[in-house]
Amino acid sequence: MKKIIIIISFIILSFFVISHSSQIQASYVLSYPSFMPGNKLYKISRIVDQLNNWWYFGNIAQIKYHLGLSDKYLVEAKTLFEYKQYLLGVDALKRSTKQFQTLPLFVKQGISENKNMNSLISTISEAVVIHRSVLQEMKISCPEIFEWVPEKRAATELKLHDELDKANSAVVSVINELKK
Amino acid sequence: MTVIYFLLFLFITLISYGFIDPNLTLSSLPLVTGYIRPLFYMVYQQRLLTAGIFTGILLSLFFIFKKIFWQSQTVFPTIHVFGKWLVPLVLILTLSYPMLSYDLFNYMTTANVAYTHHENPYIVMPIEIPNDSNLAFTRAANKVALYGPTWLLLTWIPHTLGMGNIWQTIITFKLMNALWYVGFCYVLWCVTKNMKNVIFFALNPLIIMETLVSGHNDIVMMVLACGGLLLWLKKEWVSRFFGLFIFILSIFIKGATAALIPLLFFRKMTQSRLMLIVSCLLFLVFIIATPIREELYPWYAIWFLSTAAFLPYPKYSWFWQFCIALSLGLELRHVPYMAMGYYEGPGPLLRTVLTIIPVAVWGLWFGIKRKNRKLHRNT
Repeated sequence: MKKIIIIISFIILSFFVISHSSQIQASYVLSYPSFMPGNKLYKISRIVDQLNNWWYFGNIAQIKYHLGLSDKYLVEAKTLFEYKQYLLGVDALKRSTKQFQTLPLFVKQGISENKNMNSLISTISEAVVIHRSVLQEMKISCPEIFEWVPEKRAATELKLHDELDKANSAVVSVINELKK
Repeated sequence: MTVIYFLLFLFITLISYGFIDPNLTLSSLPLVTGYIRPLFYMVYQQRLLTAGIFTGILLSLFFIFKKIFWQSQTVFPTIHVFGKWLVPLVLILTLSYPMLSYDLFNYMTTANVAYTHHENPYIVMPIEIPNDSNLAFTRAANKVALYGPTWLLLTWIPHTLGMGNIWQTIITFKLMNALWYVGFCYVLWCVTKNMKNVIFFALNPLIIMETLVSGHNDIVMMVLACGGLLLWLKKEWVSRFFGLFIFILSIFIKGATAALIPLLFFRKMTQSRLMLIVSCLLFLVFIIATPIREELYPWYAIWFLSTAAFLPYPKYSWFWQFCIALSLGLELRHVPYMAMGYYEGPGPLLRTVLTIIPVAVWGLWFGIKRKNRKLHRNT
């Protein structure tokens, strides 16, 4: 019985820590890098990311969720590129783009539910500017093509500039879609 | 006495509509607007007069409450007599406007975010849906849901019964809280079998004003916490598990009852001892934690007043008297805003002074009384 009470107490306290997290707002900034591949908690953080999709129900919450994840994975990609971990970096970049591309769907759904989405559209516009500048920085500092040669496996050719261009055009297409 | 007490609350219900938010239109019926307009003028233009009337009513209520409390056995000989008197009072107060706080509107707006807009209110602030008409008269719209999931789930009932009508929703929210209030009175009677205990809680003007007029949800938290802890003391495991379950539900309303978790480890204690500890712990949370977080809101006193009501009066009469004096002091905290129309400036100091005065007067009276008794014994 005591164990049950201790576990329940822990869950309750965790709830209050999570639910009362800071709500400070600032002009659009990207977050610090979270757990990176190789860290023991990285896989758990990815599972938590998936579970959060359930918690962030509603169109506005979904926009926050997908935009947050897109930012997080972009920062992850940028950090991995800086450490020349291009294979993992490209994977993170693709995930970031995929998350970003979902945004127009929720904006449209929100509008169809008669919610005023103007403030969120301007947030996404700010995010587009930041994402594009980060992608530009990454393009300047990385080689055009990189051959990833893992131990005892075949090499993979990574067209880094192409990947970055694809991400850039995906981000731009999102804002164009929203402008429509 | 009981008639005057009843009439004073009827008067409060009638004048409460003067406190209506300027951006809120409850009804466009000429009869309603014609009734509200002069009261509205008094509340917003004749602030000192309003504050004076409120203070007068409050002092009268506490005076009569004290009288009824002393003569509880003769005024209300049985719980049935009391019930027959209480139910109409509860119904009338349910119809009043929440004149002292905007919290009820926060409950309504949070429920609106969850059940009308289908957004997670712990992620999305009401202000993020700028075309929501409720924003015009909601004050904490720039915050995510302040209350736990138990409360959020409960608000589905009044939100649905409100059917999108603001006035109807106010009443359904208050009606739900009133049912919990009546439930608490009944539990109190079942446990103590003493009308003094029931009256100490049920007729305390602070409890009535904050629960039935302002519609604060603290009463729901306390019903679940007290019920849970009392069941936790039972021997049958079914009762114990049910008790634990509803106690946990209470924590997920406001979180204050999380301070009582350690008590779950001490099962071998009497009911009155348990309630004394609960009351003291919640008083400590009230006096220490709430000013750090925000300020001493009068409705937080429901936490320790409700548990103090379980204590046997002969043994803890001093504590009850202290609670009554503090209740008056806390209710007077509404007066500076009523008189000035803003919270800042001398407001915080005035609120502190008004809270301390009744407690200090009681302390002085109590000290003199004890000294006289000692002198009497010695001679």
